[in-house]
Amino acid sequence: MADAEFVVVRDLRKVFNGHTAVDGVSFTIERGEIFGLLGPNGAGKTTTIRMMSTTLPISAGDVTVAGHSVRRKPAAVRRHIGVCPQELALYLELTALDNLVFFGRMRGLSRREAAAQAMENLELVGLTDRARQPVAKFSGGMKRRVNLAIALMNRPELLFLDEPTVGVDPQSRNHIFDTIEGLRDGGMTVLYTTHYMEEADRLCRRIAIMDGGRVIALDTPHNLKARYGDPERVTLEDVFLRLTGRRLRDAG
Amino acid sequence: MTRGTGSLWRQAGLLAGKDLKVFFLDRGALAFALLFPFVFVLIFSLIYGPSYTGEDRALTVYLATAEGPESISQDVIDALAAESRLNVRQVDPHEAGRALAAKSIRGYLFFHEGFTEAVRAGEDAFITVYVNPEAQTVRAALMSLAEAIAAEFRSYRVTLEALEDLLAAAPPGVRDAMVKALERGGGEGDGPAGAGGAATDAGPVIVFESVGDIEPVRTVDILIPAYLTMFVFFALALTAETLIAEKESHTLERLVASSATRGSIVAGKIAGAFGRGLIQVVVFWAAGLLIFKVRMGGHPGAVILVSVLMVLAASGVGVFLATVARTKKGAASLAVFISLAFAAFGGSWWPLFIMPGWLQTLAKVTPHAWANSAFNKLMLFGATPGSVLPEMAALGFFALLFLGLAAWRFRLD
Repeated sequence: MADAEFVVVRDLRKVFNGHTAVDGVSFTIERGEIFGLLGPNGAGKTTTIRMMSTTLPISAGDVTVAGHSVRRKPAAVRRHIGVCPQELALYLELTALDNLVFFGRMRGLSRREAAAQAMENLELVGLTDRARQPVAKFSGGMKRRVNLAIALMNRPELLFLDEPTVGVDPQSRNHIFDTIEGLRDGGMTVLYTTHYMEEADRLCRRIAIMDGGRVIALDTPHNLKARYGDPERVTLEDVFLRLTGRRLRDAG
Repeated sequence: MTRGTGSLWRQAGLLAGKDLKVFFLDRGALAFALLFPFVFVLIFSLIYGPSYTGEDRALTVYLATAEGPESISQDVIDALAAESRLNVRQVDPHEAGRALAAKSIRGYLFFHEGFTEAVRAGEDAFITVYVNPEAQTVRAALMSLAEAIAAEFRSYRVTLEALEDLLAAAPPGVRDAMVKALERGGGEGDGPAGAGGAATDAGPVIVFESVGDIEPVRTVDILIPAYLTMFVFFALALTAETLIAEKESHTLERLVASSATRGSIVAGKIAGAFGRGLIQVVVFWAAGLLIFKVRMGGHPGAVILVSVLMVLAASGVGVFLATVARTKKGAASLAVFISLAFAAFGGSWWPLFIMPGWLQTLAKVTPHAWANSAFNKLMLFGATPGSVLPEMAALGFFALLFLGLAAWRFRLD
């Protein structure tokens, strides 16, 4: 498996009760790349991520991660991935440390390994001093950082980040950016979705824009902007609105 | 054990441990499961008073037979009268009927004419319990005594049939030796072999380990197991809500992405619920014994076993409800409805033995009824573990049924 094809998404489809949510999506992600997946509500981003991360059955097509097929070897794929869902998938009654240790142990780590990895991750997201406090008492931004820290418990090679900065203050957001860039510099591959275009512009080497369950554009932010004028003056939001239109999207 | 199943049980254990930790951190859930029930116990203890039926003196068991002095029924009465813990009085059947009508006695147990012949012929032999409908305790005590007598005869009959088969199959020399040995045993009248009357002329020797140790029914001896049953099912039915909360908060999805399998999640959820139920059982019986001075009867081990089987059945019901409901609110509503309806119907709000017979029969569709019946028999009427085997089997059946349904219906998406 070449580094250029660390993740291969091939003609991926998902049909829910006759409705096609994802319709023949294909792209590849290089090892060590932050790959952006953008699109309006209902474009099929989260469905695509859920299929790629083995939590939603694939209707057609396939995804390979580090050479393992999601359809045929989901357990092998899970060993390579970490998932930070859009929702705060946390146990609010437990402390940050307990949350991380629990998910780490579910990943197969021993108690000692999980505790060590948890403290390392909490330091990474700047929550060491709050490790033993219940998550219920955390601010939105802190919860987001715990959400991210859990996804890193198995030191994944591929990290799925589904809108990781929703509802957080600029300080927490910048902390999350710094963390993601640090992970990339350490060789981690990241699939990143967001509605904030400036985030994608700052973090992603390449971006796929989805609409109606399909990929309608895929390139570097610079090249996407260059399609519509001077890349120094055109914003990614301009590109996004030109490609997906101004019609309101209410679907989740 | 394969690596896969090892991983499954490890993950199930971790999930159960996490659920227990969350349970201990949730003060509301703790109070509801462990403290709230005792508020009920206290309130109803005050309402009913220390004795459930107001019968504050030891009961006298009145026995009557239509047979003569050489009959098996008379031997049974004599054996019961010889039991030092029983307050037994033999009465003439006609006098007993008149006394019951005049309400000077509250009930009696009657052996019909032909009882001895029926027993010897291996046919149905009848015992009738006559009781004042208002005397619930007497009715329950006499029913329990009659059942115990019938159970003894059934077990002797099985033993005799087995012995007959054995004798028929034995070589002549061995058969003679066995017959002599049995005759010696029967002549001494100290064992079940001589009891049925079909093989020997010796009268029945009925051994009562605790059956018939009849005392006034204490309110707490009814309330503690009744509310244990109700609140174990109630708390574990609310497991459904926590499982759906895992779906709604996407922690379930995260578990799947963390390599947790459907099997490990179902097993973990059931184990977590089972653990919470066991904690309730420990707290209930500990508080019952230490604070309320509950009497668990002659076989506390059997009471604990019934409690454990009940928790297993309740765990199955809880996880099963999670596969039926779609939202947390739906699960909570369903849990409340099922728990309260089953509790009322199954004898947790009032003793089963005061309910009309047809309602007692109908109540058997609920696991509560079987659990409460077993607790009442063991704790109030001194039954032996053997006589609550049907209740234990029924609770085991409910556990298997609901655990099976839960495992079959549980979906991750």
